[in-house]
Amino acid sequence: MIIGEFDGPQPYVSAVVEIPRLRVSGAVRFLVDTGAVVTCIHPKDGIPLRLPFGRLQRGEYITGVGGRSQRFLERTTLTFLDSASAATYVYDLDVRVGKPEHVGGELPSVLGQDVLSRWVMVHDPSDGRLQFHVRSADRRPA
Amino acid sequence: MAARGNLDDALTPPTGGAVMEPAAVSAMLDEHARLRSLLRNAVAARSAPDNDYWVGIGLDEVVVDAESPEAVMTAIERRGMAGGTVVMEFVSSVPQVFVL
Repeated sequence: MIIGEFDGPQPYVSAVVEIPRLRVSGAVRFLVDTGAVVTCIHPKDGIPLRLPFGRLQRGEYITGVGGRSQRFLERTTLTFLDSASAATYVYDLDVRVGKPEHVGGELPSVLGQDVLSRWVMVHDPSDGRLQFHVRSADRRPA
Repeated sequence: MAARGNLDDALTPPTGGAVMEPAAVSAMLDEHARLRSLLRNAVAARSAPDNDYWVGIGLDEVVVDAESPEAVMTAIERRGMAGGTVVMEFVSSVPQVFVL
């Protein structure tokens, strides 16, 4: 089971992110966004990761409450930890990365349905419980 | 015409990264959480701001009052604190609500 946390009313879960093409890795705390189709890394996290925004290549537009804005697809590995059993769950997917000139700096990175659809979520803010039961992952450590 | 790209891009397979050991994942997540907590406590200890600002932390030293996340990162690098995990937050002078 992966454990998340509430920050005020908002649900978050953390993962280690690795973008091999850009040789970038580090921890990111994602807003759990069941309304998002895809996972996005936004500048608030991309800048501390020292992400070379100038090397982003595969652009596309996404639409949200704030309107239409550009993101860039990067093959990314997300690793989540089950701290009780010390198991890790690994997902390889195209994450949408936002450049500072396109995305408001204060926006959190979001975990979308490309990962969430593979979990069962217990979302119980009244009890402070945010738990994820993994149905499937792309890889597990040997 | 062939696409132009960085040599590193061509040499790096387009698959995922290496599978990390749980202990390494745990260490990275714990350090990130620890720095977030230090940063939050530092912000909470300050009086309510009149203006929005960005705050960041690297090597346990808090950098405040930057106007952008890029400025926070520049300040952290200038102080030689960018070697490990860096965390930053936006501090708003007025209540803000996210609707994504």
